[in-house]
Amino acid sequence: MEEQIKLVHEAIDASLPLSSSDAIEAFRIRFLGRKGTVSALFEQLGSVPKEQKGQVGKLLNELKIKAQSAIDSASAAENGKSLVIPKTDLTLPGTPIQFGRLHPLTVVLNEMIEIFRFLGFSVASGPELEHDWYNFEALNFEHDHPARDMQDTYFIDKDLLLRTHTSPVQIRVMENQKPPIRSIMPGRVYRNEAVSARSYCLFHQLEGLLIDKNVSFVDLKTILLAFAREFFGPQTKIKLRPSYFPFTEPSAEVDVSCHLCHGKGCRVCKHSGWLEILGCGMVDPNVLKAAKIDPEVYSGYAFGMGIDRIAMMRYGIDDIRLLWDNNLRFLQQF
Amino acid sequence: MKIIYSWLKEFVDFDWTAEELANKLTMTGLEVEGIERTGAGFKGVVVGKVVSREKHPNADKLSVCMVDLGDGHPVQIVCGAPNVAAGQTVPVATVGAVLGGDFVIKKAAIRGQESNGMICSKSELGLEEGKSDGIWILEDSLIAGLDFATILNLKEDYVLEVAITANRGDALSHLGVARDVAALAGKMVRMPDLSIDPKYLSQSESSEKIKIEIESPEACSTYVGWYIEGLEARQSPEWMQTRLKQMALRPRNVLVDVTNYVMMELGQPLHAFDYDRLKTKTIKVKTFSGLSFTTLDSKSRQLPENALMICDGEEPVAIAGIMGGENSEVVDSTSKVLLESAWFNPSSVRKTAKKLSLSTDSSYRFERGIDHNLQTIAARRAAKLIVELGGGKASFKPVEVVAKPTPVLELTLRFAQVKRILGIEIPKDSIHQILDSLGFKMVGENSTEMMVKVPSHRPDVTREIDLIEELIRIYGFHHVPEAETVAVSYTPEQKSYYSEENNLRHLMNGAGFQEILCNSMIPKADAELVTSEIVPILNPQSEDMGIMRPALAPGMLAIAVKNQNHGLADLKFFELGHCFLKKPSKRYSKISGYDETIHLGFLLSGNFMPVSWNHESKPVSLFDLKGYLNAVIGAFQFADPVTLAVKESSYYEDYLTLNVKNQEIGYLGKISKTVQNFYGLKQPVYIAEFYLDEIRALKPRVARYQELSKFLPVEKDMAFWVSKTVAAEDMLLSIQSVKPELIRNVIIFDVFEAKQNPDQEKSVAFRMTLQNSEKTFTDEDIEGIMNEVNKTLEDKFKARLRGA
Repeated sequence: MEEQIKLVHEAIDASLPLSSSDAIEAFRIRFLGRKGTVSALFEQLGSVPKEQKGQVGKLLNELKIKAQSAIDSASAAENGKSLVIPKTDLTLPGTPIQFGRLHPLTVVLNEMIEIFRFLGFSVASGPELEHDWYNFEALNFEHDHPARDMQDTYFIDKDLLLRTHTSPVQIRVMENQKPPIRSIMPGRVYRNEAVSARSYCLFHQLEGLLIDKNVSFVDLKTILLAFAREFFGPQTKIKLRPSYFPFTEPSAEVDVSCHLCHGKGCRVCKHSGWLEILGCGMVDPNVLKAAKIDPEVYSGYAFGMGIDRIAMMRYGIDDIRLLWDNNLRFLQQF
Repeated sequence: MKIIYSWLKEFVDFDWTAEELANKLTMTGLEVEGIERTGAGFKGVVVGKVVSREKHPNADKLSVCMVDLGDGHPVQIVCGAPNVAAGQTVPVATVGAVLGGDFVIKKAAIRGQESNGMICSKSELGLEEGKSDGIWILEDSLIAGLDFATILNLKEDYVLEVAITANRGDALSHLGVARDVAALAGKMVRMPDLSIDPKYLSQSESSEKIKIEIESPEACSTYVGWYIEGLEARQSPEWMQTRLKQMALRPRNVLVDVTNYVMMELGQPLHAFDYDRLKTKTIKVKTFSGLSFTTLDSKSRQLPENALMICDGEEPVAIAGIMGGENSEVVDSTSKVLLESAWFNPSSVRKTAKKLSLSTDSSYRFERGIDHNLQTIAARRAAKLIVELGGGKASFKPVEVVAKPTPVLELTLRFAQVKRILGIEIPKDSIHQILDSLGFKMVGENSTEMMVKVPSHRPDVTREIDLIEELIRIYGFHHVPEAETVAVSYTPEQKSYYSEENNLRHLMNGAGFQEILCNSMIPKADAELVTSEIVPILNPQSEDMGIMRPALAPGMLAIAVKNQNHGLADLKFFELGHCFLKKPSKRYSKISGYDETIHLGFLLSGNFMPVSWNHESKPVSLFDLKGYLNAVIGAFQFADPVTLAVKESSYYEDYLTLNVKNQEIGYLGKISKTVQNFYGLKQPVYIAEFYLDEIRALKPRVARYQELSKFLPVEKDMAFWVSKTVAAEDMLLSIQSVKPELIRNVIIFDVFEAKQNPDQEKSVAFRMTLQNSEKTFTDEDIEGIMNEVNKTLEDKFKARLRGA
């Protein structure tokens, strides 16, 4: 048996090199085909005495591999591409496998959502096509009040509009859930504002709502500081300025110390040392009443921020339209 | 709202700089967005005398002058102006002077000659637009060395740009802002001088000249009219003009200027009618409908229903609270006026102004609510200024009509509630001081609560919570600490699709798809290619953003074109977003009549892989997209299988829908030539969309462990000739159904057309993985299965086994 194997080795060597595809195929049939020499030897393996089987089997396998690799390298050469080069030049680039990336707004939004989930908030969502009642009325925007001018609105019909903020989801959450409520509401919102480098007719917001017994402004400030430090860095400071939103009272704008200059003043913070990033306040009793929650029993806070502006600040994007152009060369930077 | 620093100081004492004031106002909720320094635009400019002038030795157009700056030691200054001459008196910016805010004059050598300052032109001092012809030659009587800004009486001042929130109508005046300043400084505000020198008063009462009738007391609670006659001066004095200019108002004549001035001072909009032009001397305040009226800006306006008008008898002469009429406007020859100071209902003014698309300083203030006790005060202040500055005589008494008295609101402030909302206690002293200086009157107090009267200038304060906001606004949020712990009571996590959607995004990323976000508002033509059930926007910004997207495909295609035009041809991206249809169904939508659903869309175009040395690049096909779809479907883990149905579509030329139990859950297709041309796409584009709301409603597959077979699987290949009309998928399913427990997997590994009759026949080759969990297959077992497969395909599809 071993002698036969040796003969076949010689026969293989004698057949090389294989210089055409026909030669390769003839070689394959002669040695590895169903009735080929190597295959025939394998069939004889059954009759080899038990104690020699291992040794013979090993030799046979080597033979088969030799024949197969002769076919492989000849085929590769035949295909015009030598495998010799990659084996020696390992600096050649790998196969160009590419992952896609998330849109920068999703990156920022996800990071915020994860922070608030870590702080105990659930994620809620709602429709972008919304009733006036949810978008304005229930949020303490009176009819014929200038507060409505704060948000230029797109209308679908008399009562239906494109939500101008994610706050209507607050009402929907309060309708469907009894306190304690702890939710964040990320989403797309629409404002009928002229498109420019600084503003676009739609953008993204993330709002938060917490309703429970004994919730005060101290709790609001605590959660905002926790968020600011998680998002902007552990040294971040916050500063609250009184402001006005119809659905919260008292209301405040929140500035965070600039993460680039740490409050010293730079181009991004317009040399103020502070970045204006969110609005907040205690939920107005009228809003709680609209959602059938007793403001004498429960209190709560709400906050909201514009994702697009924060993403622009973070990445140094100076034209908001870039976010909507979706140029792949732009998107692949994030 | 612009607030002038020096004007504010007339109402309240404080010693903060403009910068400090701005900071403090911002921290009380009156955000200062900018500070503009006014007055002299220069510092360090003095009067100089040109003692001598020589031509510059190295430059034809320059002169070398010796200039006396008053100290007896003339300095050398190089001057480029053609009109400079010895003996002139000129303004000189000395070394160290600052022009135009930041241009500092330095000692310099100009073409080798020392220069110690600059002789200035009007424009260099910011006192003339454009470029002056030469230096400014002053009167010889001016003494050298005097500060030039002082001579010109240009006092330094500041204009603060304050953003007033919609609730703070009270802060739309200097008096209003002064109240906040007073609260901050612990002072009280001073009212302006209201006394009219008797020499300017006539003996008659206004009521002898005019009658006032209010027919709509809800819309107009108070109307004060003041009759003034014998006006002479036309121009208001320099100081008033300066202030108005600083407020960005154009000075016109005493009457108009004073009404504007008092509005900016006290917050009460005023109007002056030319008395002689009023047809009858009875003013009626009443509503009108559907009237055409020419306002004093000479525009004819169509008035809406129930617009509140001021009428002289029956003819309207002004749109109440918004704008006066051309027919009664004061003109240069006006000598008698009726001054109006009224309270109009905010929502009434707003409705009319909105419908007219007309916003004026007056309507802006009425809409935000003005002090309902201010009318007589403001009228008196204006009458005083008119007669003092314009001559003439005012009636000694106005006509005051109060059609509907406004009750004084009393509020209870519970100290415990302050603590409950703010989390801190505010000392009672501070509470008293803050409310007092804001004008709230204490009417009672015990250990737990206090009663206050709301001042008439704060119509926005109607509830206890409003008082709490006033307190913290002045007391300061910096007093509110952060807690040591983020204490939360347990609530179960609410069902949300955030994680699921994010997993999908990451799957798509892993498969090489870039996430994009498209505008949800798309052009009508793009939307109508998809469906007729479109959702139009009533007031779109432009035609290009007129329709809410019915699907993700239009947006993705628009982005594909943009990238193509930037030279990016290999496109692989996805979007997850809301889509909108006008449909009576309300399957998943919260809004009846509309279907708002979440789609996951993906787009493939160009080459499947970038060119590389070890890979051939190959254009993508529908089957590549189908492969990705299958992978995503696998990830969804449905209990029931997804079937594909070939359908017709005008948007797609090859089009398949994805279905689970007859419910369509998505589609894939190659866009039709029509759509490709519509967008200007140069190469084929493949698109798929999943309807996530439908998918969420499907029964999920529950994973159960199944014991793995101990016996090795066997792979067997079979190839068949079959008619080209037979669907490969049907063959595949038929093979699987022969022995589902033994045929574990079937793949198609080869398909080609028959050489002899390529139009009719094709060869389809299958590789089956056979595995028995009970035993090792014998040759007979395998042969049996293969025979059965052969027979099944023969019977069902008239397939012939190749090589048989």
